[in-house]
Amino acid sequence: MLTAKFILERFSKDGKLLAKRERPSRSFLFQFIELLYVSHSEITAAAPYNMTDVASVARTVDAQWTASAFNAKSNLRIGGPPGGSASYNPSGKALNNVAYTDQQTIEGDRLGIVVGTGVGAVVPTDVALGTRIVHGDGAGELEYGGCEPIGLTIADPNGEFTLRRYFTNSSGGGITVEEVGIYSLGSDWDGYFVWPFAITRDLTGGVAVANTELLRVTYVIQITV
Amino acid sequence: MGHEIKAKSTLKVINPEKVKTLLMPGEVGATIELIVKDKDGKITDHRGPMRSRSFVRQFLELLWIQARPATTLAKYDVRDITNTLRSCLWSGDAFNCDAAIAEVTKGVVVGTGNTAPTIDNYVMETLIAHGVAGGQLQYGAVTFGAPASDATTSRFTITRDFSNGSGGAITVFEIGLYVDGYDTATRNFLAIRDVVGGGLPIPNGSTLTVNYQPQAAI
Repeated sequence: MLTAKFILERFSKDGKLLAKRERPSRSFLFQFIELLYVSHSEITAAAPYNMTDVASVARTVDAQWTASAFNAKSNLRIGGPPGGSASYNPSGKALNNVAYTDQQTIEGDRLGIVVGTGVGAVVPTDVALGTRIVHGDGAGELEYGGCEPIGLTIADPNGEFTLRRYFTNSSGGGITVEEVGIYSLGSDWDGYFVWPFAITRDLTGGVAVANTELLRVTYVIQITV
Repeated sequence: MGHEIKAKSTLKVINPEKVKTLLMPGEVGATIELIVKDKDGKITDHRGPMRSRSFVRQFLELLWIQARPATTLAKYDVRDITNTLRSCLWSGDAFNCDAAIAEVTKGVVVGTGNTAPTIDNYVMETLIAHGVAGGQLQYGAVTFGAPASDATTSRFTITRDFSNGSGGAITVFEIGLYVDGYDTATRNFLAIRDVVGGGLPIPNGSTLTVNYQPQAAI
């Protein structure tokens, strides 16, 4: 089985740990299963699969241009740059797996761990956070650091890796984080498009992050035989 | 002082279609359903759906490669089914298990090994080869059921038929899933391996259908 837990840690601006909360993630969403399906079943560009992205827009997604094409493909990507930066993501269009041409940019705050203020109950068909907090230093905004996949370790009967992201509150006021999630990518060879899809969403119970404080969100993804 | 325990036992057959999920909230896993039919299509043995226990390390490693992502500058070594470490990178080929008829290095596969799975398994213990000779089964093409979701569970289905034309009975003890990954060519990796307790006999002339159903429950 594969499971995940998430850890919320609040730090002062000087790096002092103020509070820590750890919970099991209960909520891998429909889009995670769909992205696995696209990959397992070798969905090709000629007959792409329809998914709904984080903007609630229907998108076509495939795994390959044609059967047994090996192009670089950003499906299931989670690691991402800071919120103010763009990631470059191959759609599989390039026939050269090294050149990585024909890429699509995705902003850092729409890839990887994301946070929000929505409190609605989680259902498998959620396609996004209820109300995502965007990157920035304006009112109600948090500055997104990079989303780091780290620490893949395997020791029978367990294996795990970690996703980690820092959020800095420079908004001038307090912000309460009510939900966390992971946005991952799916892509379409034919138009060399790449879109974010929500693959997890969990409620936090409310974590109040004061102005100048940092919030560290860590997901630990585990398998156990 | 003696005690008499009084209990009324009830035995019910549960329609597998009505089994909503075998996963706990928060789990991503798979269920396995095994159906044996005789040459006339009559079901002679039906087991499951039951929990698949065993994503092995290559599943997590391939997910890691896509998630990180592993580019040409930062490949990641994964052991393939030939016991060779392959420096893999992100690719549209990752997790592909869409196997054709007779293809035994991809898709749902079966074997006769009965050693309990460990996370380090990288190959089936004793793979049953494709064919009609003694001890062989004829592998059909892998087919897929599209994803669906209800109030708690998301799922899709991976199906493969195995026909026994070997002339004798064959007992299946292990079931697995081989998937693709990419280094400078397509390679094959073990993603899931399960052992069937007591084995599942497939008489000559019968067909085994294996349904793997990856699921996520909330």
